[in-house]
Amino acid sequence: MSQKQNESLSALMDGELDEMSLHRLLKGDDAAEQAAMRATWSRYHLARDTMKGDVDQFAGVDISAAVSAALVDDAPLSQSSVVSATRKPWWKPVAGLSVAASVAFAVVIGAHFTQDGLQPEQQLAGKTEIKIVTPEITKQKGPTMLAENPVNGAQQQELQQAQQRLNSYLKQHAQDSAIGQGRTAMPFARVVNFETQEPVQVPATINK
Amino acid sequence: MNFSIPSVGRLVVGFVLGLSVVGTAMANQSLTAEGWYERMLQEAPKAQYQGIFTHQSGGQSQSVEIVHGMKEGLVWERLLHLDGPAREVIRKGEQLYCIHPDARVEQIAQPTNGPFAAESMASTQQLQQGYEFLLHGPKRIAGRPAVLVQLKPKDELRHHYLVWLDQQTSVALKSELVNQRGQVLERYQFNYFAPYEQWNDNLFSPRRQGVELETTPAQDVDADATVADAQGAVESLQAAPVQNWKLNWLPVGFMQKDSAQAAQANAHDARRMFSDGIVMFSVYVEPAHEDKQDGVAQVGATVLAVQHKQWQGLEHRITVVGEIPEQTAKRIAQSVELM
Repeated sequence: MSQKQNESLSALMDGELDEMSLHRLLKGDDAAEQAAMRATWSRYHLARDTMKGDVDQFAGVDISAAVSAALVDDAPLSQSSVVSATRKPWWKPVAGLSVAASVAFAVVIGAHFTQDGLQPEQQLAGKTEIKIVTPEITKQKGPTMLAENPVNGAQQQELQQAQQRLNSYLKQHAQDSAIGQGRTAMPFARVVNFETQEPVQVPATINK
Repeated sequence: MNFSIPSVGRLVVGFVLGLSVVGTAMANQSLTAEGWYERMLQEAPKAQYQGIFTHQSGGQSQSVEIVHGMKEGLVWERLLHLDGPAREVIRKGEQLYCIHPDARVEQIAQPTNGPFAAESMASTQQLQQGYEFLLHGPKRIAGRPAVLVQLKPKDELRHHYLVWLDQQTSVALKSELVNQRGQVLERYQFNYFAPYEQWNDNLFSPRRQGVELETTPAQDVDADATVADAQGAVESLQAAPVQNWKLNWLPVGFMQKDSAQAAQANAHDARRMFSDGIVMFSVYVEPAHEDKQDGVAQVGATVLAVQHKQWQGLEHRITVVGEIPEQTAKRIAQSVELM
């Protein structure tokens, strides 16, 4: 999996992934790649749960091997010069936009998965199940907490749609705020930048 | 940054600035908080300055370099992200250029016939419905004398808003959105702010090497397309008719935006926006095909409240997004009546 996909996964986990990137992420090339993505997804959640103290015991599933296997240097997710019909400018203002207000400095709403003290991947003994987190919109940094259930495709799709939708609301609102406030020296940097998200500092251990 | 001013010019600039500061100081003494705020609305767009500001929200921080001015009645601006990929935005009146990190330039013309074209800056009268204006001063931000205008909510339905205005230019040097528990939800602050006297087109040319801004307008963006794009990507394929709806409750001071176009804006539009003059929220009403969960989420300064309601056998999803307290957002969502 590429760095970019890791970043997208992180963003998705925090509910900050825009629909464009999500489509890219899920476009899924082959089974191995999808498996690797799921593995990484699981691990991100485990790591987060661990940090939150949410998990008692869980899989000593060593996914590092799978991740390593899947760490191929594939072609970077398209930043190609071909502008597709669906490609949006990273800042797409509405009429009457006041730019200082529109300071489209791409700010990712919320954060990527950059909490401090991200645990290095550990070998954990325990049962082989992975904790399932039920989808709900909770009061937290990201709009949703997605369920981690790689088996149920339909449910996953539903969640992704919910995620996309929330992100689109946030983005649309950020754009409107920038426009509507009319205070030219008061940019609201809440616009989600779809295409140039900040790279997540993926801890070295994850990439082994 | 590369703002070079000839040394002789600097002396002149210093002298002129000095004079203007004195003059401004004398004129400032009688202004009320409302007066300062209105002055910002009037004067800040015309100001010529360069600077670096930071925006903080939800644990994130972004630094941006900005150059601002007005030429022949048009606002010119150049913004450059200083962290991460070097995204740049250049504005010349209605023409907006987005320069991507890969040096690709995207040009967007802002049509003047969109719903926001006639949007005038919020009047202080509207603001006074929801906020009490308080003036504090003198303050010092980015090394410059400033005053603090505090917008204190008259009810618990909105957040506090504080804005520090540069005494000389009336530009907002700092602003904070603070909830009623005193927590800062969002902060915007100049770390470096320097007015310039001499106009120079070069100040607004791209910092990226070898980038040329084209002059032919690219695609036109209109509000409806933006909304459609934002929503269409996530809606299911079948296009269900949008339900007619209204809000049964609106906090004091909030008005629907683009009300000038209200006649055109059919009652069936999926999204409506409301503002009290300083904060805004949007309400989306859409058919719901999946994910029937209600809930509230906070992302930085922005809150999202989702509710589902049944109407004529169809499940609908109501979403309220804005920089308002959770309780307010929930109450607004609950007050949506489908018709």
